[in-house]
Amino acid sequence: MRIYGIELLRGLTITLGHFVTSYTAGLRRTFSNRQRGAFRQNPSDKGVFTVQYPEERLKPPERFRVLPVLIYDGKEEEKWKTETERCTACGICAKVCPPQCIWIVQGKDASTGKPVAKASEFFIDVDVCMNCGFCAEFCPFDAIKMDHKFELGSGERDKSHIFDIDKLHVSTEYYAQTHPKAWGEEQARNKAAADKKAAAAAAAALAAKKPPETAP
Amino acid sequence: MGTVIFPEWLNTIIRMVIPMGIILALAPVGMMYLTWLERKVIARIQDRVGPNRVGPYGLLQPLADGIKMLTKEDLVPEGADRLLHFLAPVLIVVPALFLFTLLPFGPGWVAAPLKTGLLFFVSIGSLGTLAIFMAGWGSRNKFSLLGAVRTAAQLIAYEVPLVLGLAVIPMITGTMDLGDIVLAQQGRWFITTPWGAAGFLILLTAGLAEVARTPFDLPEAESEIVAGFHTEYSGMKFALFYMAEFLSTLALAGLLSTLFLGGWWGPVFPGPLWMGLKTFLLICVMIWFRGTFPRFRMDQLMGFAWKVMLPVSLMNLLGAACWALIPGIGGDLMSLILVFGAFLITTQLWLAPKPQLTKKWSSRILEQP
Repeated sequence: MRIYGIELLRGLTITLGHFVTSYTAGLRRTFSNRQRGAFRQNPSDKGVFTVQYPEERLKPPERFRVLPVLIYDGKEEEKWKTETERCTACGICAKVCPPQCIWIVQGKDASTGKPVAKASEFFIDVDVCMNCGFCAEFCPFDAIKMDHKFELGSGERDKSHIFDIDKLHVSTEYYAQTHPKAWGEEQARNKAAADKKAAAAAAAALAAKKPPETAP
Repeated sequence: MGTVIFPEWLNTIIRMVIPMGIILALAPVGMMYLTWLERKVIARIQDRVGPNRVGPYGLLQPLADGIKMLTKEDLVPEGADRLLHFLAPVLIVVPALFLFTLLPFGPGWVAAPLKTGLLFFVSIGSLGTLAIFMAGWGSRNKFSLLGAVRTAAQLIAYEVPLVLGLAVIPMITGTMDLGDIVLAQQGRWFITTPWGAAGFLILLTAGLAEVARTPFDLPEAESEIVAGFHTEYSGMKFALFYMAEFLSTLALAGLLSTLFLGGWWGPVFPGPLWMGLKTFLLICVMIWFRGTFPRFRMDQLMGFAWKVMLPVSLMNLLGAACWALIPGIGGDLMSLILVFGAFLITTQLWLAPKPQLTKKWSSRILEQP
């Protein structure tokens, strides 16, 4: 014996509960000091899940990758210079790029006209890039990294969607902000390499010093 | 030169034309904001925000929708019956608008005070099916035709309990005039009587089926038959179908509040405001239903109409008769027992049993190799 209709009423209470909590949770969220637009899609979260995109933004995860950028050592407000540029125009990124969207021109010394290990021009066709991140993985100089800027829409595609070297360059400061973990790892790696080098140099110096004493 | 005599028939016509003009002007606006309300409420039920981009709280969304609908291309499928295809959306709005002329919004606030208002309401209300069938047939599309056939089947099935549920009212009040029915509820709204409560539920269910709203929206079940009878409609013609649906919903809510919730009666506020408030509440309940219940299957729909609704509404009729004959608590009990007993017996006998699951679905999925 089952009385029909009771489960229907129970279903109605569930939806009513969602309707009411969508307002009460919203009010609580307004008055709490939780960050606006914070990630709220956990199963335990109540209320409206919608992130009002242009006004509210979710912070992309660190390994989110859109378009490579070139890194230069320095602060964000300084413009990149040949001295701070990390890229050496070795062309590995252009070689590994599966859709072949990278175009590099090697720099020349202004006075002698000899090629130098710096890129003077660097183009990426945004429409062709497939965001695989191979360039960043293969770069031996940590000069090209994947970025987070995904809002790339534009009215035309012939000019604004081919990024040149000025547009591609970002500072290490910016990179440390967007990729704190990777930046920390890079620092640690560089430090370990430097330590190792210093230790080797010290050992070599020691070895060079010792033989005259023990030789006789 | 003789004096100009103001003719009697002109007087009548003017008294009817002005309220009808007001209804014609207000009904589309009401329908537009009904779509806004429905979208908002359903969004909130589903933990979303709903339209909030056009104007504050998305209040101008209906206008944007209207402009979009007006500027859309009007498509007529190849091989369609052009006349029927064109006439259907026009014809479907007319009966929906007619319904409002009958509803009394206050004492004497009625566009067409008919002595047989209730009968007229039912007969005009079911005219929309003809238009729906025209749309389905004229579109030359199998989904349209399926939707139209479903509408016809559903309407035939639910018209019976609907009319039987309505028949209680003239039986008790002795009138079919909607204004007089409201007047009869001055002391006690009909929903507080046992037969009235049952009749309200029967009418709400059958009415939802009649206007093809969830959970009875099989004629336009988008997950099954694209969009049902209005698959082949675009632009303003589609908007007219939408409008008719919402207007009939609004009219149904108005009818229910007139018949069972005491129409314009209510403390403090003026009558029309009470009528509007009750209608609005019923609309909210219908939107709530839409946000809650899944759609019926066709056989469930038919089974429910013929096997449960029909006996229950018949028993309600009998119960109302007993209530009228036996004064005091005896009549109340008799009416209650008849309806509830009929409901229990029919549902136990004929409704499909709940499928027996030994375990929760999640554990069963985990067990699969």
